[in-house]
Amino acid sequence: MCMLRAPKAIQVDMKRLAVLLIALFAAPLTWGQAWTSIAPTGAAQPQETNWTTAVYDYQHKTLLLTQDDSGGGTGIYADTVYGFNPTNGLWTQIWVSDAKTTDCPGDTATRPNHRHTYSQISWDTFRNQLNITAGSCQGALGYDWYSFTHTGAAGSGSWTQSPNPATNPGNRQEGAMVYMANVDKVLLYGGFTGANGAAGADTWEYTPSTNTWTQICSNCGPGARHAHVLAYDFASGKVITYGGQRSFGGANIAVTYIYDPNAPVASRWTAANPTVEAPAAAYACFGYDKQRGRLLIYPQQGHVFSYTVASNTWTDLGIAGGPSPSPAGAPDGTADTYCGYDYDHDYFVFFGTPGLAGGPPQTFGINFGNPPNSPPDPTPPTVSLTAPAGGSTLTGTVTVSANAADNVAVIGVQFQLDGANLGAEDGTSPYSVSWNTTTATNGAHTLTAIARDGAGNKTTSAPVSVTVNNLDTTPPTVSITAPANAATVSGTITVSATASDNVGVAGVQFQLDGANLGAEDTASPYTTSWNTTAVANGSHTLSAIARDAAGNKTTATVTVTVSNDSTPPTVSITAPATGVTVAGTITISATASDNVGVAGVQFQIDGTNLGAEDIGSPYTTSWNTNSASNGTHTLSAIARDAAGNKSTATVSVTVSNIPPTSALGMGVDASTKFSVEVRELAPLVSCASCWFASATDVMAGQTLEIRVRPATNPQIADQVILKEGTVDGTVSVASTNQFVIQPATGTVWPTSITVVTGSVTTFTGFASATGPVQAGQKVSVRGLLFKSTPNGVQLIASSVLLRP
Amino acid sequence: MGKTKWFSGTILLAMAIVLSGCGTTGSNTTTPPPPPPPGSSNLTVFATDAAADNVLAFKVDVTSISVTDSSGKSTTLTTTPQTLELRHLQLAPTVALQAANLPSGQYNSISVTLANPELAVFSAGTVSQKVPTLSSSTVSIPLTNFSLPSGGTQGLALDFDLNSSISTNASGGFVVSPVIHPVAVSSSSAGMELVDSVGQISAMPSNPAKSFDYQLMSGAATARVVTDANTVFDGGITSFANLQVGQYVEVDGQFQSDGTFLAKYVELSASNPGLRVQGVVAAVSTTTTGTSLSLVVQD
Repeated sequence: MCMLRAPKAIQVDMKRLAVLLIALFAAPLTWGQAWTSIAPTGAAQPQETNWTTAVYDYQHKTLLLTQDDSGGGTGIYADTVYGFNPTNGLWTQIWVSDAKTTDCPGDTATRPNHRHTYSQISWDTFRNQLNITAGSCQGALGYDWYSFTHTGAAGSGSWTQSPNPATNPGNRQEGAMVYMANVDKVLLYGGFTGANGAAGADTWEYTPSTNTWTQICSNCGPGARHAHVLAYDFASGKVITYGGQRSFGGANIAVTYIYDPNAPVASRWTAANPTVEAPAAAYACFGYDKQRGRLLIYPQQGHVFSYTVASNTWTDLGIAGGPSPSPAGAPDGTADTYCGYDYDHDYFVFFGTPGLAGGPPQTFGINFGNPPNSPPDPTPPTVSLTAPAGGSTLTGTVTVSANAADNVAVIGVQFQLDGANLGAEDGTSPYSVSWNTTTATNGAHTLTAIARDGAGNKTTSAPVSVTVNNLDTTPPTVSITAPANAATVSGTITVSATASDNVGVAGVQFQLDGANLGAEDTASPYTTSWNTTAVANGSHTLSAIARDAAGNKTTATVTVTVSNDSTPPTVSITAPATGVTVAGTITISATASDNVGVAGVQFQIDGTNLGAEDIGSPYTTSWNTNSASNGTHTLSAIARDAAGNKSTATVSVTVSNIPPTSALGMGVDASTKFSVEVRELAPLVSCASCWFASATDVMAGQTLEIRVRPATNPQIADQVILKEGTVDGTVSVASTNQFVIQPATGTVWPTSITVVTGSVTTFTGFASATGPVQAGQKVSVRGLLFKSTPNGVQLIASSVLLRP
Repeated sequence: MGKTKWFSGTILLAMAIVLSGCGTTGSNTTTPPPPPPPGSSNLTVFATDAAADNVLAFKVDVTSISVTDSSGKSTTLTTTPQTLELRHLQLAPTVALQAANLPSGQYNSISVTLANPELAVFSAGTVSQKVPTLSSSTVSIPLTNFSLPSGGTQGLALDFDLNSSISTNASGGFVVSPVIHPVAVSSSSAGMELVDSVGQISAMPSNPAKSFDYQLMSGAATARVVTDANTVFDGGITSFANLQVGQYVEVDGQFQSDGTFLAKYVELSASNPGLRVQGVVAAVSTTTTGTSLSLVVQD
């Protein structure tokens, strides 16, 4: 909210009323505001002054001029320093060059060489010293930095050179430099390097305390220019640039820009864009009127202009007459003239030049007639918050406003929220800032405004307490993390959700089929326990409703299937049958079913798990009965469903294995079958079924395979198979296709066995593949040993090995 | 050990069997080694037996087998225990192990570690069970001019000389000091083939065609058996198509240069090996109630 404000003119004291009326209405002055010629006095006066400017020494209350050598030497550039008092025209030679008659000698540690400085010169109000850098001495000078101090007395000055830092602006001439008192830094902008040519647009800051340079920008907003004005505005803490040329000898420009050393680097230069610019000019004669916070320039005869940052206004002060800014006899025109403002005597002084013919500069001055008091401005501004009203409740974006006034001028008002800056300082009345209260927490807050004047005086307004109460319309977000959508659940489970909110989640209420499931959970992690057995099997909807403090709600849902099962499976062992006798490795099989599904069947022997649970039908496992003792054992099949219901089926079996190292009885009944594994010996066995048909055909030494019946106890031979075995012996008689061997005495074999051989018999170790076998040889014979051939006991040989 | 039960009853014939058999100690199923790459070699170790007149069964556990090359580097081929009944291996070798990817080159010895020997000895008309003393559990057998070919398979038979290995001590106890003769085996070696070797089919690979892997009942080795048109199928089966994983089969097969065995016979054995025994008849007696016999179980 804006308030009607008094015109700026009536906010200032009456002492400056006349001056400000000039600024506002550009009305010509008649009192004390006219150019007057100042006759030079003093024992030593400067000669051939040009390509420079004057700075004001606030410590010794004198204008300083670094120009020319006194005494009429041939040098056209100078490093001698003079002081000038406009009230009496007195020149004081503060320091005398030791090389006044030498043209462009090199620098020394105790003084800079002769040079054009133009505006690359400034007065450091903190250290009370004059600084210069680079410039030109028949060509651009390389970077250097000299400081000059003095006591005000003649011959009291001295120069000091600072070491060149690694980073510096380099050689440069016709740039402009100014000391910024508010940040204790020197600003350097523009100029050109090397020979006269295109100007630069770079901006540098120099920190005297550390002797360091920082390049702020290389192609800065004001653009390339040289021979321009650069003035520090004590009132705003900013720097004004104006005028110059884009390149040497180019068209003069105006283009006012402001540099704020406290602004972000990218936005330090801003175009002032005043309604009306001052006339374009280069090498403009200028001075800064600190008493009134304005820049003064004298670009045209009869027209002194002022510029005020706060109002961004160029004003023609309407002071008629005056010297020519480019007087006759000045070969370089305005470059040969310069100005300065004497703060303590309130003089704007113009220094003309008589040209190369020599002689002191012609001096003219405008006395504004207001020598300052000391201190110049002890009066702080006044400030008060005008909006919002104390105790008000705020929402959304509001305007915070303040009224501020000062005996001189208010530089700006900084608003603060709870002690922290709220936006940037407002330098223009009406003072206000926009505040988006949603960026603050709901609740009580304190607003203040701090007004600042050009002298650095500050006043903080009375605080205003307000209450922020923004309506929260953003609902929370919520999702159910467990169980998953479409999951099948049973028993008691945990339902979990995550929720978030722009302000905060007040709580999450779980619901089952629309009815609350437990109490609202007010703290993350949001969970509740659900006993699913309390509801019917089938589909159910779980919801999580997240709520914030403003009452916004969001619901997330999942659908789950409850499947609680109290019905146990059915199970039965299908093999082996109960009561049977088993041996060796058998397969145990079971069938199982369940109203929902069988999760698995675990087999057990005498209560001990047999292998892993079989989770797929057909349910089987393998049991090596040799791992159990002979005798009765209980086989179990335990079927389990997903709900954990179990059923058990059992059968009892008798294990009857043939012990590996012991004997047991075995019966042979009428069903026992006798056979011979004849294989390749078939050509030599005319009737195997005749020769080995019953138990009477069994004899010691035969090799038999016997297969017993698992379901009988004691075992009954189901099959008796005559197989090849090996007999060792000594050949007693040998003839064609047969020979007789005599096994060693005391063995299981008969004392004499006829061995029958044929084409299928292999002979190993003999002279040939067919033998011959000879009496007395020791042999091993492998073959079928028959008891009951037509020729009695015969060993039908498949192989004969001659033994050593 | 060594119990003998005699059976008599209403049945026509009765038998009494003295059993001194071997069992399966290893149940691990392995896969026959693939052909080795160049620089490596596969080794097939056979076990066989020489004559032993009065010993009807000799069972021993083989707990490890290792070889040592010419540089002295020892390589353990297996530590899977297997139980061998050696007596029935006379003229009927079996496979003790198949080792893959051994460095090719010369090998100087093979070591066999034995344990738990048991004997069934026929003496004075009866069979007795004996637990002999094993004089040395590890037997190092020198190899002469024995090399493993690069990229090939070599066979090696360990011929247990039971007659030379078994003796009695002063107290009449049996002592086994294993005497084992190494015999290099190739595909052309006479008599060096699987005979009546029972095992369970563990896999039926597609390559080579009509082949199957079967794990020998002795426990450690898995052999790959290849059938062809000359293979005779018996025991109720008539062709390769009748075979399936899990069946117990009895194989006669010739060792081949690639480490497989070309089957002469594949006979379907008893579906439950626990109900099958094989051995030597030690005695037969006939009484009025029937005929009985003693069988020394070997396999």
